[in-house]
Amino acid sequence: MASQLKVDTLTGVTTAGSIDVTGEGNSTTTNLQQGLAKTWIRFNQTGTPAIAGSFNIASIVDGGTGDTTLTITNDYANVNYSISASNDDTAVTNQVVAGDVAVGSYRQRSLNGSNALVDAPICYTSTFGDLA
Amino acid sequence: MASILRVNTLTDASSNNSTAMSIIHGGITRTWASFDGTASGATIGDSFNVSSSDDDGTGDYGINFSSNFNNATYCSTFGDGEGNATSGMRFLMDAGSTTSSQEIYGRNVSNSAADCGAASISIHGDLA
Repeated sequence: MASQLKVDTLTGVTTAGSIDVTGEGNSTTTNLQQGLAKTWIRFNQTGTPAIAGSFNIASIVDGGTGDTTLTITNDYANVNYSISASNDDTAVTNQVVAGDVAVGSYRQRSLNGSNALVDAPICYTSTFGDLA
Repeated sequence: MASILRVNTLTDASSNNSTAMSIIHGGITRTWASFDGTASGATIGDSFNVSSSDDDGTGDYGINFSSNFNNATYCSTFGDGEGNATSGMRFLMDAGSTTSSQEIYGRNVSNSAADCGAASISIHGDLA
């Protein structure tokens, strides 16, 4: 029978911040909190930089050509979180890189084939780790 | 006491933001890690579902999973943390996937093997 649970917050019983979800094979479990993306964002560096869509991102700061700092609404517990970044890969932009990682922000840069900073029309980033 | 809740859909108390468990289940990242590719052994900074890492040479790494994937067709995305324009580090890439590990190559602007100081990976897929 289909069921629906109405709740605002899920909290683990043994550990408040740890809830397991049963995997596809119906036996192995994976952790809900660890598996959730803690931030994601789509934004542009060309023109006036702006956020098209995001989660847990407070703002972006234009640091110049191909250089954007993203500030996080709810900070991470440490700086060892995982950052995956990409862009729309037009002819002018080969790769987006991220650096200068802090618990409340990180920096995303776009480079062209000559290793020079260049504005990317669309940047994508998602991050995973432990929130404070 | 540990408990199991069996439910098809989660909805907030105002009956908004309804999400099927299948969406939650499918969208959870099964593995993520940050590691230092310049360090001996590709030292892990933090991770989830990673049992160990290995350093197979310059720009050549691997991470091993604690719980294996059901198949090798999972989705791996990468991030290169050497973020200045002069480092020469260009990108990280898939160098081979198995159900128990992900091999990773690092490349510089000349497309030569290069170590990445702050590497990131996240993986979506089905666990065994």
